[in-house]
Amino acid sequence: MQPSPTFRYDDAIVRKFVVATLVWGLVGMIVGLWLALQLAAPSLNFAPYFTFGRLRPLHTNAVIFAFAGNALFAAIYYSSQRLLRTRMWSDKLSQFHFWGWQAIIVAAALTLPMGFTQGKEYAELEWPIDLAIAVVWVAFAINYFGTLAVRREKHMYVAIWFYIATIVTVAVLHIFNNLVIPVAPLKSYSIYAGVQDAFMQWWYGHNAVAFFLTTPFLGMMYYFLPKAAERPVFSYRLSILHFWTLVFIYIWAGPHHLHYTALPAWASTLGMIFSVMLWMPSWGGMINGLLTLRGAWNKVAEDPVLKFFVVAITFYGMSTFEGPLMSVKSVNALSHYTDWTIAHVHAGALGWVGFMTFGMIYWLVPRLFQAPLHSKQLASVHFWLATIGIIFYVVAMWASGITQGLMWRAFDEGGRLQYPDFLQTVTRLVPMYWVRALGGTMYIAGVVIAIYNFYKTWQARPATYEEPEINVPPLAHAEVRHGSGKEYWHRKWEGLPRLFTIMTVVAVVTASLFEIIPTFVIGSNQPTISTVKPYTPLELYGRDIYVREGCYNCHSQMVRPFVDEVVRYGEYSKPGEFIYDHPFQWGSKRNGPDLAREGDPRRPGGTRSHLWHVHHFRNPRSTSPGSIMPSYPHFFEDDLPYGDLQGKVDAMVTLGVPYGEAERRDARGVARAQAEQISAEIVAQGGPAGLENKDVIALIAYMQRLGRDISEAATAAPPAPATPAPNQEQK
Amino acid sequence: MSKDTHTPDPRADEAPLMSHEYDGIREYDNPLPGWWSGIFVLTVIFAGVYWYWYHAGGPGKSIHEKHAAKMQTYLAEKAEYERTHKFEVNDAVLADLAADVATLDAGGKLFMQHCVGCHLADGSGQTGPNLTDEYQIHGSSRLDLYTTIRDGVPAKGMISWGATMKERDMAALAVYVAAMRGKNLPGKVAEGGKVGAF
Repeated sequence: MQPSPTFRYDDAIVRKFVVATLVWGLVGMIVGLWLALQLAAPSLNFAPYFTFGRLRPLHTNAVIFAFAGNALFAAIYYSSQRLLRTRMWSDKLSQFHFWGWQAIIVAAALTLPMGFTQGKEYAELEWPIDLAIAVVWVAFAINYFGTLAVRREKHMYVAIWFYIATIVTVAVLHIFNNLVIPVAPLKSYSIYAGVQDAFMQWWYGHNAVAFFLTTPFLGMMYYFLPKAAERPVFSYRLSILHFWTLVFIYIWAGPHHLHYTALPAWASTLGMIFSVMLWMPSWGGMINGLLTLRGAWNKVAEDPVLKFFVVAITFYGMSTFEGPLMSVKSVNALSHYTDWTIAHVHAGALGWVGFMTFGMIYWLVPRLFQAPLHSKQLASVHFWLATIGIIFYVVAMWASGITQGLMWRAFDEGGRLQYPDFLQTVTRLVPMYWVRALGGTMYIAGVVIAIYNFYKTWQARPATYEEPEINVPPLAHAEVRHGSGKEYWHRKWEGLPRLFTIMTVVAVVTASLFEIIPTFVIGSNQPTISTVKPYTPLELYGRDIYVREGCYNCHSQMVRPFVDEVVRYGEYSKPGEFIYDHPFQWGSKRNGPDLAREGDPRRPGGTRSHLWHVHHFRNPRSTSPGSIMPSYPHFFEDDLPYGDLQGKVDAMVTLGVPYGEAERRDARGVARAQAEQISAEIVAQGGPAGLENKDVIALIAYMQRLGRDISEAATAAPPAPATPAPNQEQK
Repeated sequence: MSKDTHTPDPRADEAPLMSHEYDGIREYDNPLPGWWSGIFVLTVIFAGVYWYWYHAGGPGKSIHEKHAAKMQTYLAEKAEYERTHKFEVNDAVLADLAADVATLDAGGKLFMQHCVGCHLADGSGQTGPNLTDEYQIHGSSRLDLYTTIRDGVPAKGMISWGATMKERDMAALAVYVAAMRGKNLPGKVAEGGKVGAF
């Protein structure tokens, strides 16, 4: 069949993705603002569905996969068709991609507040939704590579390289981090445990930032910035070099999220040194962006599109310097688990991703709706509100993060913690949380103004959109244009999408395997501890509640080998403690204290009573005045699903967790006995009766188990001289 | 105005344009900025040296070795401080402090900060026992109160504050709690032996 020489671009699909970007962007950011307010005013938590722990995944998933996702799809569909001089390969797949992705977002918005989660950051969505993501992504990939196959432009422009890297790498990351074994229609356990699960999660988590929030947005920049500036790109050679170094180096950097944890030190070091080496590859993109504007700076002052792009690229440069800085172990020791990380990601998300997206949409809207932008002035108002909003946000979180980091490690002259009560380090931050909320409000106000502006522009659209016929001969018939300029070896690859894709996959996969294989193969990475035993069925279910409520969003379970942490929490965490943790729950942020030693009798101050936990879960402020933790009244109302426990134990057995005969045969009975014992102890402590049938018992059982096994190892061994034994005998 | 922007920048003009063009986008053949390549090479060298230093035979100590050394220094310094700054607590000292308004004040603040979670603000008890009745579970003297605060009752959930609180502060707390005894506020049922007010 002879392909027709003429065709039309599919802009209807781009219009759809743009509208979805704006709608989900607004939703995701409003949820973010709500979270910000919850940290300042905990009464804004509405259990069970709208607590911080359940809403935070909704916020992160919405802004990453719904807002940024739809934006990058809009960019890819609009620019690829023009750069490759063809319509998308299959309109049906384009439609399937769009509607499939929106359905996934709706599924996420429903399941996350309901507590269905895998308990791994940005990979919270449960397995049926993960399968749907894989299907839609593969459909997108087929459509994209089909489009490459029917392209009418021999060579691929740099934007296309970045899109290819995005499409293949996201698929690999998504699949390998989400390998789980289902135990219910919306509940699963990660096949990895502890250290290995943590490694896979942050290999994924960091590269989601790389290949979902960076590479496609660099592709976006390479198309829309020179178009808007009407200037050639600064350096073709820099494009080549920074593309390949970025793709190869980024993939190693994940373990910098796990410094000083139980992850083996070599992996942590690789994460750090590759992050440091990533600095210049990232800045290559910034340079190519900013220097493309040489000779167009006068336009920047008046064109809202360029204004947004300039600020976006500036934030990109700032974040990609801050990232390597924070990956340096000694800096990370201060910044990790604090709001400094929150400042960093929001400089990236609001500044880089957000401003690139809005710049692109301001450029696209008049072209897609074929009417001049309703108001340049409103665009300018949006720009300034958003810029000042980000500054309030980021500065408040820097201040808050550094304040808290320093308070955690402060000792008085006698060697006691200056702020022994974790809560003291939280209440100090509340004023900064209000400033952050103000910054976020300004940013959202800007988005609302933009949406109004786009809506008015849309109203002025023509009755039917003009869809000009494009006349470009198919490749087989096209003469490859040979210019007079210089050519480099890389030019050949640019004409061979299959080779180019294979080389990208090779770069990404080789780099990954260098870290993954040793993590899984070297046994000494995870020395076993004989006293570490599987969770009892009741504790296992308590852990499920911990995951369901998203406790990991505010509590770490990882004591780092620092004097202050050992004094505050107890012995630092060992890799062997986590071998039955499917999934791992180390956390990444301490809005509340670390819980790794919560049940360890040697915990400084001793363990808390069951009754304390009863009061604390019912209303944290009754035991800890000023606490910002949500209340969990439903723990006392929901019946403990004893019938489900056998299935959970069986799933763990399948994963290789060595349960004994009793648990394998009668998980329910074993759980029942433990629940009745705890319940009786609560009554003996003066608490309410009848809790053995309620969820709260399982969670208390889990809390009291945390960190206890390793303490039994210590008591079995000769007494350790490091900490003086409490003189209990004298009582 | 917009026509002006098509005039190439004179500096940029020095670099030749690549021959290709995509949807109107052209690219200059500018060389890599020297500082860019320079810093990139430096970061690669840094990475190599760092790896050698800590993981390939270099003299760097592991984070656990460093931690062990820091912990040892910390414990030694703390022990030394405690030896030289001994704060002797006995019933006589506590009796003196009980008459000191500033100490009672400080004790009250500490109580509000650390104790109300279990004993409530007025001391009438919730998870922890009622501190306002005339009964005491562990001993009867102010020094007994002090010891209970310091060592805790781990079996029943009373925290051992000695791990985190200064002797002076625990003493202030002890005298503040002692002063509550005998107020007989309605609250948790009395536990322990009858001791009367101070």
